[in-house]
Amino acid sequence: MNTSAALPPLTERISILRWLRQNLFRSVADGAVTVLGIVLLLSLVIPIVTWALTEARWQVVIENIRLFAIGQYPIEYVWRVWVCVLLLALICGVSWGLWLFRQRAVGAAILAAFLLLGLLPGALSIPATEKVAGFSLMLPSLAWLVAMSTLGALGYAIAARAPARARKLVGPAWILYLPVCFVLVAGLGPDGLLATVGSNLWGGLLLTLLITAVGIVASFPLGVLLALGRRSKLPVVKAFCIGYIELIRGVPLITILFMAQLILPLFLPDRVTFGPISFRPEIDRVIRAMAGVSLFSAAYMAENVRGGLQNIPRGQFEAADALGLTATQKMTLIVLPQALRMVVPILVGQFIGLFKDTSLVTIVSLLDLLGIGNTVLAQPKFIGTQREVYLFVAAIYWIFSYVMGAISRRLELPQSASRR
Amino acid sequence: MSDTKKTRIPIWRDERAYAVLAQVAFVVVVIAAGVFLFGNLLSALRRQNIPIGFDFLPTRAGFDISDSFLEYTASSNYLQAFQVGLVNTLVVASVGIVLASVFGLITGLAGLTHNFIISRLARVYTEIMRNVPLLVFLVFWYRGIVFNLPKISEALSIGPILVSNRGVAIPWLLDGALSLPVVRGRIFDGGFVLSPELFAILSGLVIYTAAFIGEVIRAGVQAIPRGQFEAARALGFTGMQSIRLIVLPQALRVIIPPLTSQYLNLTKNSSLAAAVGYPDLWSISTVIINQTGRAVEMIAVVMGIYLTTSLLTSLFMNWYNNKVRLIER
Repeated sequence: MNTSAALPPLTERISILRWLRQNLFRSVADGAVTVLGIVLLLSLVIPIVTWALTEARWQVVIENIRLFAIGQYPIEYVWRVWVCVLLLALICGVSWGLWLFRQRAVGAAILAAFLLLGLLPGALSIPATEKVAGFSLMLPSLAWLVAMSTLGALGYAIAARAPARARKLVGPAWILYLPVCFVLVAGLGPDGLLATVGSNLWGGLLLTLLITAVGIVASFPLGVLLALGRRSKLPVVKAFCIGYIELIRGVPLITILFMAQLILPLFLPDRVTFGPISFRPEIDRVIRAMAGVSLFSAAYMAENVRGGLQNIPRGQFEAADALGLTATQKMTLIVLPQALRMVVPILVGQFIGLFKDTSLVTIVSLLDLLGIGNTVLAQPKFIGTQREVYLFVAAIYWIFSYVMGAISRRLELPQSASRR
Repeated sequence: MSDTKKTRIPIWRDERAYAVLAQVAFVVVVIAAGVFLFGNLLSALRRQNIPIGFDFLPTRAGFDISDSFLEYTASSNYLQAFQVGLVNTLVVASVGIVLASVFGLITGLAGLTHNFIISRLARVYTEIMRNVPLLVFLVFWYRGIVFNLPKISEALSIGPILVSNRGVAIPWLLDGALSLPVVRGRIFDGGFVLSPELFAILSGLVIYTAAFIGEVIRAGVQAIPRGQFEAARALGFTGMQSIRLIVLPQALRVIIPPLTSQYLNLTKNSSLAAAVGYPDLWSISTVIINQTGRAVEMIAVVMGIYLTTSLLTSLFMNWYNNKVRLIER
């Protein structure tokens, strides 16, 4: 074979000069814009980098890293939070082994996220007051990394060895994961291994992730119901769903959160009596915020799911009718699986939005990641470190959102049986 | 044949009857829940000695508002305070929408150019903004950047605009003549002075929303097949003409629905002004709630106002969307 035939013509071969001409200096005006762009870039980047390397007092982040991660969560019970992380590593390992092993990019993204998460427990096992030496920070971090990757690999191995059994278990494991985490974090009794930890002590990234997870899990079924309701043939149900969706989508989240904080408790009866038991019902402040976020997110979820439902061809409905399926069977077995699969990327986008929106609970004075940032700034020792603290908080939000977004863009969903 | 006409479907096997029944049941459940919850609400308010109604509005507010486009003093009443907030929100939202559109258009077009540096700059800016919560960005912007701007005596001048930590002064029409701001001692003289809070919320919202609008515009233009450009060039249109007459009218159809939702987002997001200390509708309402305890009324009114604004904006954009829509044979 003549190798030169594979080469493009001389005028189209890539060289640095040609690339520069094509992409930066096509005309005089283009060249001017390029120079302007470079000047702008340098005038932004140089001061920022100089500041970050010389002036910035990153000590405020290092010394308060535990507050940022888990808030005031008691240190003797911190292991319960790490068990949640380890469980997640195990389940992710299994899921990866089952479904995603061919998708390197997704795997790499998840791995990166875990490495970051894995560094935290190690860094956090050191009390904030102690002097932080580089080495003592590294060792426990490495131990945790090893533990997490071992569990992840174990999960992967299980999936590879016994895929049939793993497939049966992984669904329930995902469903049970959040309640188990909730029990682990909140605790069960007055004392013992699982002593109650009041929600006023939850904080930082832990609280942000908990509100996000509960928000996603609670708003998803609600959103699906609302979407189905909006497409219902019963005018009353339809009007109710449209009213709810448009009302929620028309107002800012912050008004909903305030309503959840101030008015939701007023909706409860003064006393509830079941025979001999009589108590005063109360809803915890964190739960109220979770309720607000879920009710808000459900309306947006409904619109996204409706988009999927609208794209199901009529023939699918008619075929289900022809097969004699009941209305419930038609929805759960034929329509919803296809509709939801279609809108997964959009739903992930919305979950990311929800994750970012949870920062608003700071305004109703919960100590989530941003709220903790504000309390850290109130420490007299770290006055004037707003930029460092908020940049750090923003960076954490950024990493999580970006990784979730990158995964959803690269995810190739297992297709339905008919298209496989 | 006549058989089917005569026999009636018994009511317990008639789908329509079930549909009516289901709806009646639904209404009953909703009303029962509503009555139960509202009853609880009323009795809880009675227990806390909070009356319900809008009788508190004409009473003296007694708090100061730093930024106001209307006449307002601490001896004004709650209704006036509320109006100040409403006007502030409308100003931030409308000016914000205009500026965000301009910067969004610039960002979107920058992302589309073949120029490597410019398109990468636009890309990085968009990726940073889209993955950070607005509230975090706003507090960083206000407490980290706007607070640390130079003192008024060393105010930065960007063209005729003066920037300092005591506010930003822009040229403005005063008494029919253009007045350029200058620094006189410790205050700005002439022009129009934006307080640091107004500047922070306005610029913060614009910087944040422009990234999203840029993405909307980029996606809209990319949805136009390349052939359209090429056809325009083949017909002898100049670069500007082909964009104005061929590409933009088609791209608008794709752009307008998501652009509408960005405008609505900006309006609703202006309720975060409290985080930078700007007295918008919502932050004044929370002050009133704290002073009077009338949470139910205030939240209902504010929600009503936002809802009305959102619905009006949607109506307008739908009307506009219908105008630019592709009219098919």
